Amino acid sequence: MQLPTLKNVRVEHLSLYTRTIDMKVHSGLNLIIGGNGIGKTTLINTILYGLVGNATYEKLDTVKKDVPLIDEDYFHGRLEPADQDLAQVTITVGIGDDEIIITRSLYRPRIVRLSHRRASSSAAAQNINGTPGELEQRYRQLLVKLLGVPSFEDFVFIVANLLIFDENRRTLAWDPEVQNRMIRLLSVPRQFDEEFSKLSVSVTQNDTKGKHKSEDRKRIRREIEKWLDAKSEKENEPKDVEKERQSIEKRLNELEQQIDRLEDAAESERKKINSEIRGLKELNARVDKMELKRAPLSEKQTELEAKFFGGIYSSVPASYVLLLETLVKSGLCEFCHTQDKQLRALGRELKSGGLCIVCRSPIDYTQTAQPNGKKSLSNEINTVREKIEELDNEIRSCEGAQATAKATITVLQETLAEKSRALRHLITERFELKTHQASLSSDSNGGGPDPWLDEQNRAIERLDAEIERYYRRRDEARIKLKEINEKILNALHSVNEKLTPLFSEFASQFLGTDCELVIAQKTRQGKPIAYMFPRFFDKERPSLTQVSESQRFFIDQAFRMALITWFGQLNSGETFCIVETPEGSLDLAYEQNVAKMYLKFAKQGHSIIATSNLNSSNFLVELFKHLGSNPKRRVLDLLAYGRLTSVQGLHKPDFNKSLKRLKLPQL
Amino acid sequence: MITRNVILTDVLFSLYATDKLKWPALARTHFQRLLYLCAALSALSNTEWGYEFSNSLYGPFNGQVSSAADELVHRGYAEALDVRVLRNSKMKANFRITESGRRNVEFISNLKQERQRLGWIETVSGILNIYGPAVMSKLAYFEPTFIRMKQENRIGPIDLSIEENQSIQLLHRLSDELKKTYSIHLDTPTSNLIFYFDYMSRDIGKGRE
Repeated sequence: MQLPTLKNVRVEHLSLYTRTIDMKVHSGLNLIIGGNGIGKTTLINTILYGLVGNATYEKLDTVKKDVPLIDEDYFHGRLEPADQDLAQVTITVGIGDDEIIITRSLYRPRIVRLSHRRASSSAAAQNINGTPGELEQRYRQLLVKLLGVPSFEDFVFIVANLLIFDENRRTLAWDPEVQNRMIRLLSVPRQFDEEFSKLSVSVTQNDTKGKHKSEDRKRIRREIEKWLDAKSEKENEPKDVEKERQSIEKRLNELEQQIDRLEDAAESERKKINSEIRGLKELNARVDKMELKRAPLSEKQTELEAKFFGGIYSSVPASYVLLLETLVKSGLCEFCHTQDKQLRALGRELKSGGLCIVCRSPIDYTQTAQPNGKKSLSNEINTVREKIEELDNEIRSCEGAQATAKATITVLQETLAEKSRALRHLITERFELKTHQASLSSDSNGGGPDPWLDEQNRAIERLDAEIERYYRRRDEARIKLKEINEKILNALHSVNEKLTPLFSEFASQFLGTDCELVIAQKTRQGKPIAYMFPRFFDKERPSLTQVSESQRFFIDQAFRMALITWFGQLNSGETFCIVETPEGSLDLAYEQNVAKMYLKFAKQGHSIIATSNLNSSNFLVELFKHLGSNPKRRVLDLLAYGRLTSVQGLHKPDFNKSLKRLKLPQL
Repeated sequence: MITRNVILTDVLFSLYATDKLKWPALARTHFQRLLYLCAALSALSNTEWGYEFSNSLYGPFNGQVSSAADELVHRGYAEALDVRVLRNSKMKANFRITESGRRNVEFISNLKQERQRLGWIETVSGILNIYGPAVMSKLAYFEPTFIRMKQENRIGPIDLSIEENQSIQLLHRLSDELKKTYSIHLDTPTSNLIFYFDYMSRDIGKGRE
């Protein structure tokens, strides 16, 4: 099995940012810096969304449930209407020698483009075509095949619990279930892992089934007790058995008819629901088809509009060209009237290098401002827009029909649930009446053996056998599970041997002392779970209450770094990890230690993407000292892409001071 | 469409429309307020506005709209008049469309959607011509959706969607009342606008400001 690398991230038209973000991810340290609310977390979530879409993974909480890593409406509040159709993220994922390039729309949960290429080959990436649903399926299949993970959900699980350490900060070092699942995925031979999962399911299923049957048995026993009580009461009372029997008979007949009618009605509701669901599926397919038609048109529209408005608003103003020409020819700055040879040299340098006079960014000054005079271009834009509008109208009408169908299904399901409830009441009443009828029969047959009682006793015998069978299977599975767990434990011991020195290497950078990982076992819901927890300062720390906030955060990071490094060494591969705002809980003394820990990990060849606020701390300065000769290429300064709040605007000089300290362009 | 292009075009359109009406060169606040009124009432013309304004202390505001005029000047589509740098280093100027800007407006108007948008800006500014730029600024400042946010002490983008747009809701109430009491039907965007601004301008100058 392998883990992927991130090679490039491109975010377009996310309204939070004023321009396109194109970020090359280098092996080693990559920094995303900014201020509060500038969009660091949004960028991280955009990367995750590009990678896994709205796919879910199993959250191993007290109540297990499948949750999406990124919610479907996450970007809705972050996109202005004009950007909704254009907003997209493109991620280049590397897996060994292969590269997958995936573009997802940020507004609509779908893949816009998908291509695959071999990095070693000079051939262009091969586009994969299909409906958005098909592209999602192909992407998942391709990723699972190239990575060798058991399933896409397992990949999402690894991303959510190992590769990203976000604001939710779920710890891996102190979460036995998640850690056990992670180590099984990464290290235990596939057949053990599959068997472990299968046996775990078998334990849970057989235990639950046994319990249900046991409840059924209790219910029948209660009915027998009631029946016996009623019988002894009746023996002491004078009564008209025949009359009562007739009345029960009559009510039973009525009940049979009512039950028949309700069953018919429920069946008819079910048919209606199925037919509505079929209709809804057809509508979904229609919308998919129209979206498929719309996507290339939307791209065409963007392209044409960029051409149309590019000529007006994106080319270089004529005044700029004139200024540059004067600078080159006579060394005269027409703004301040300074004239000397140096200015002339500067003008030549800027012109030949194609650099902007003001900010030194690349500029194509040959593209001067003039409207693209062809009227055909505006006609073309009008036609494309009309086609898109037609499709949008159709999509809107389908979406209206979808909403109606969904509402109808909800109403029908509620009606069906109501009918099912009524049906259950009637069936219970029938059961009770039959019990009573049986007690009357036993009265009339003079206390001899009763057929109803016999039937109930036989049912109890049957249930006894079933319960015994389920619990036997559960216990057998538990024994096998224990055996497998022994094997996993052995594997864990050999992992631990390799992991402990790596963990100690990273964690000691932070703590300044040696650390180790201790193996422990727990039983959860009858299932054995083997896991590791840290030991440092001569004390075992099996629970989160035994560590401080910063230890919890950074020791867990050291554990993840050790896991990633060990896995990388085992499979001779590299991967990435994302860490959010790590400097928040550090004092002056530990800033340097954490920076050292990051740099140590960065040397392993994996990519680490760390976000950090631009503040007065030394954390960034420490990291910057080791970013190599050209640190700018490893830094994405979001202050240059985002919009400053009014509070940040007031502190612009402070930001500039910090940027200057880091030798980054000022605001 | 890219928001930056929409905003640059809108500011260019507002300079064009007001210049045709022989208004004096516009200060930033003026086209900011004119475009806010166009946006707030855009539901009348079925136009999707495409960008938002936030509530600032001094009125509805969009930073990109504010800086768009500078870019238009750099590109030669507008000229900055009466430029002055204040003591607090803030720069003030009035802006007027140039001949090159006018040519661009005509060129952009070849696009149907943009032509309709220009039509809407011309309609709104045409009616506001009755009151002049100073009253227009006050009309924007007293726009009911903005005022409600101020009263509720809420900050952030002004939600001008149909459900939250207080101007459109007020207009619906008033037009129902007109229909019921006087059998007067406001059946065009222009008649709605005339009535709305007439109603809103009554209190301006009577101490409400």
